[in-house]
Amino acid sequence: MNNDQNLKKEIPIDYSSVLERVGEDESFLQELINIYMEDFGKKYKELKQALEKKNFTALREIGHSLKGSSANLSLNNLKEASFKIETAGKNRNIEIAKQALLLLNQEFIRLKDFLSKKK
Amino acid sequence: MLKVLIAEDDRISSKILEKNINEWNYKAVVTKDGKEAWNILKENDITLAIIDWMMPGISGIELCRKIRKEKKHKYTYIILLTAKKNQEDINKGLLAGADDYVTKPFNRFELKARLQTGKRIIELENERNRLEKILVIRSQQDSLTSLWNKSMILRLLNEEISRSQREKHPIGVLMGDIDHFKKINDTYGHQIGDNVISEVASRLKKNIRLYDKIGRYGGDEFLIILPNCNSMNLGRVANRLHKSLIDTKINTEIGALQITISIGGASCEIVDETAPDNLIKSSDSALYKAKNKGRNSVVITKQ
Repeated sequence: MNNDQNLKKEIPIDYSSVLERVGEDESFLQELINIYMEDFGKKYKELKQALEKKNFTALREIGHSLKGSSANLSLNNLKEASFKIETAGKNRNIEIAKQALLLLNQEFIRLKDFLSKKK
Repeated sequence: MLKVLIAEDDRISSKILEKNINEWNYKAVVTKDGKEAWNILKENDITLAIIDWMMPGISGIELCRKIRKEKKHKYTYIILLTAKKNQEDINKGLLAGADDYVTKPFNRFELKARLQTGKRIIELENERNRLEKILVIRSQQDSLTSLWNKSMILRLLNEEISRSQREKHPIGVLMGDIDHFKKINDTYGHQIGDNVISEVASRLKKNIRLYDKIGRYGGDEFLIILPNCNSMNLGRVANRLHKSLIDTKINTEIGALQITISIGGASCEIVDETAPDNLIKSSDSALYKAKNKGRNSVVITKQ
């Protein structure tokens, strides 16, 4: 990996692409990120319950939905983690789902840290 | 401003779409539910829709099928929004009735361009509908008088007769013919002849009830259908029409012309299958009698 790619992986949100999508409106982006944060808490809780109950359908659906909103905000690492959960749900693989959920949580913490430092 | 329906359950995606679409000078109408999307499309004049594949209620694919199957009166241009990129899914979406698709997360400029395409198609469709309406009117109306033309007034006669038969009402028919119209044409020219016909048409129309029907039956001949009108009333109407034409001269470029008209009428108290032919025949022969009596008169026969 060269430095550029390393840097890209370090930054959890691809600002240039998401700003293009929202017409370069930073305050609107902030509003969307707030919605995402709010939704994430709810969905993460649901994912944990689904994992405990081995509810693969729920894992797949919530994973899919989270993948969509992460992709819309160009939160690429969170999108990848959500995709892993969706796939694990589809393949009915509880071990991978467990790992993916851990990864998802890590990435979310990284995003929060990043955003608070930015402020 | 063209309205665009956004049917998307994901809040973030929906908000981004709404903001962009309003910025591009459309009016966004937002719903997050497939069923609600169908209700909005069914009843409103919205002809452009961006529909998400995965939605609660009715999925995007099902909604596409429903729109194509059940919404016939107006075309809806559908852009399907999908996270799915594989060929099979795209085919499935297009076969279900989508016009186009955009994969999520969408590129802003691509979506704008694709909406532009939809707008172009809808504008073509609107223009086609407008022309179709004009053609329908042209095929039913007489261009000089704007009364119904011959084929339309005969169609209306059949409809009104069926209605009278069903509702057990009498029905009356009047046939009017301007006296010596050929002489007006020959003496003053066709332009003046046309002026006379227009004025006669408008006076006749003014003097009938809203639910009576009037058509230009021939060159200077008019046919009037009067539902729920018995023989006595038919005579009254005929005399009123006659009076409205002879009391006041018709103003034309070459001065005021006095014209007269002959009117024949027939009514039918008990309507049956033979009524269409009989009413026309009887009012025609009544008109013939009026002409034979020396014109400028009214003759009514009862069937």
